[in-house]
Amino acid sequence: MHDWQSWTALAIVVLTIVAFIFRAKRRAKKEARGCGDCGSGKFS
Amino acid sequence: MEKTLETVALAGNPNAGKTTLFNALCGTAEKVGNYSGVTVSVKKGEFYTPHGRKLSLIDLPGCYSLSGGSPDQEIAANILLGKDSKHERPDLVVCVLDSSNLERHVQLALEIIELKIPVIVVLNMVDMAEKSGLRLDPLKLSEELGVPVVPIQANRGKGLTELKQAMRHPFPSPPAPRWEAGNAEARRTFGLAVTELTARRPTLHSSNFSDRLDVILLHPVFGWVCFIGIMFALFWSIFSFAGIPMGWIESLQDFLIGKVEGKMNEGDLRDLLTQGVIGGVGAVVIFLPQILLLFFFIGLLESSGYMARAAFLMDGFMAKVGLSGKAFLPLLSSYACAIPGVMATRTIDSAKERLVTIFVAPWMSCSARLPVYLLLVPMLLGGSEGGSKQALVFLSIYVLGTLTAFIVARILRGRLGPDEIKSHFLLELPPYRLPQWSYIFRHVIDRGWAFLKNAGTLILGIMILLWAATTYPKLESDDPAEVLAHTVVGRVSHFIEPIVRPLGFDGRTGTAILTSFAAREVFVGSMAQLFQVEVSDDEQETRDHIRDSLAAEKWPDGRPMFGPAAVISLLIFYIYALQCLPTSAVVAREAGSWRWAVGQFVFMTIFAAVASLLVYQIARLFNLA
Amino acid sequence: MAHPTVQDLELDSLQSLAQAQVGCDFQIRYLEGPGCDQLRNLGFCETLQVRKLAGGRNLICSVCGTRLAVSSDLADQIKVSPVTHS
Repeated sequence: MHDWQSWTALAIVVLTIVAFIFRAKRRAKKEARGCGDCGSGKFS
Repeated sequence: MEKTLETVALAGNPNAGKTTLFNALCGTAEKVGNYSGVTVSVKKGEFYTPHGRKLSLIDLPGCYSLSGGSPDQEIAANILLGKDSKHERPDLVVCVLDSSNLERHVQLALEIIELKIPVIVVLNMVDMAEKSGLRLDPLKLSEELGVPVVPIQANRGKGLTELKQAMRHPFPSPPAPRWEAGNAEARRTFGLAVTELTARRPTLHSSNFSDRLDVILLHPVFGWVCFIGIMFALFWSIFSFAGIPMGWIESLQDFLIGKVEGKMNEGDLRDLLTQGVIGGVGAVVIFLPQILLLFFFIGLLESSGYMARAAFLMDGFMAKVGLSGKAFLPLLSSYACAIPGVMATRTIDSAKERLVTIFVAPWMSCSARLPVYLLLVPMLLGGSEGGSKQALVFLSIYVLGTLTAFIVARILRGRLGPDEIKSHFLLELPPYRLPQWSYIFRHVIDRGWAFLKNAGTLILGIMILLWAATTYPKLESDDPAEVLAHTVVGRVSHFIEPIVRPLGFDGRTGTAILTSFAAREVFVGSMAQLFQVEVSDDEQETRDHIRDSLAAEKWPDGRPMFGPAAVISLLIFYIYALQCLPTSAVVAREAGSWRWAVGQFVFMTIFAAVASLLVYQIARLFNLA
Repeated sequence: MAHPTVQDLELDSLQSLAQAQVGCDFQIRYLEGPGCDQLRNLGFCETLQVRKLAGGRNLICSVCGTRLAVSSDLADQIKVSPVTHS
């Protein structure tokens, strides 16, 4: 009955991992990204 | 594409209102404040002239002359002189002068005119100047300098159309200086003569509101009383006033959990949503009101003109630790966020003093630590939130971080040795001004939005992964402890426990600390998940749930896991640990070396662990565990 | 040995801003020392008038309507003479 839930949860986890890898790659290119929390210090 | 746009640069002395004008022209909300050195890096924007031409606008850090000085002033000077490798020399310079200080500010305008770049002079804050009795003659000034002069009030958007009109094509041709170019003495004499003609002061000096306020706020005794009072009020209100909006967020969280639980059957996805997403992310988002309050109060301090007074008061104290009052400005900004704090050290003349300030800035507790403190402080004294005792503990946390920073600064400054060129304390004390409310609110909303965005991306991601780590690999068993031990978190906890045990933590707390290296406030969400907080839709507050379940946790021998010793130990760890990669990246860039940033990270992490260990073990001796 | 000129005697009678009395107006006569350029950039130019508002480790003064906090080391490099108000 709740099998679909397990699969969906697992899919979300896998998607999250992929998103983290993607994010890390994208961020590695940017030199200065400022504070993640408050956005302070973003500059060119 | 960038090259096709012509560049207009805003230049001028510090605190002349360049960034306010930049924001007014480009519709941005770049940081402004009423003290020298708010802008320390180049800001870029675009705007349209009344003729529909798009221009690129750059806002330069303030500088007193083109001969350099502190790193921020050098950036501005290099761009204007065309020596900057990253930026083209501007096609037009808008010299922003504070109308009340023409004698001084016009000197930089003269230096820029000597560079043979098209120049427009802007007289900012004409309202303030006229209110003080100064009689300005912009036409005469324009005649004398040979460049267009536009009086404006950037904070109210007055005179912007005239300014944009003055920027029409072709840009005004650079005038021939009417003084001996390159001769500083001749330039100075000309500048003084011109201001005498164009800005008449009524009397030599009449005592105004700022003077009268300074008599109290800079008084050797009352000044300190006011300073401590202001700081206490700041932290006490953050601690006390945010209860109502936090209640709303909690209700929303409870409502969402109720909805999910009502609609879905028991299963993994429901657990993920309630425990991971709503419980974990919610535990962090709950602290949004306090973070907004912190940014609001620091914004008020920055825009009122008090920052410079605080720096003045602190100078004597700072000198004892080998720094100057000027270094206090970046440190005070670091209470909101260490990154702008580290960048603000560019205003410090002495390179060694700057390095030391950068090194200790992360010990000024930033907004990301707020959720951790707000979770732990009430646990220390028992009972619910609020109350002056808890507020005092809360304030002591900030004082402890700051004092330790000063002690380490003292040691480090001693090791770095004296400066080659002695630098002196010299600081403008700007007149007190009412804050620009629209800017402050926009600034606070921007920061809040960034916090929510971070909660919706990074923290959400970590919470999902943490949920996965507490769920997989699965074990079919009725004993929850056995199930957890089988999962990734169970194994990591088992591995970590011997390391963190002497600090007073079990493996799960250790794991929560590990996750908080991604972002400090993740700790709260992680604790909520790892200690299996039942987030239900009843009347009780979620944070109380976390605290209750933490308070109920016991070691196998029956001792409470979160007694005073363990909570203090946790607090100490969060005061001292540098768990912010973006800060390290900025430190590396500002200090010019990754070694400095890595050294700082390693030092602070070890310091935090050792301090926690000592505190826990000593507290145990006194039977506080 | 040459006799001191009137100008020398006048210069000798000048005081530094650090020594000057609080609450009085002074005229800046000349600057000497390593901090000269820094001071000039902030408005301490010869011929301008300055009011000393407070003394101490860092003194507060007002030049051209701007209040400035200056360390006493720097203030020692500013030589002033009293302004008599008629």
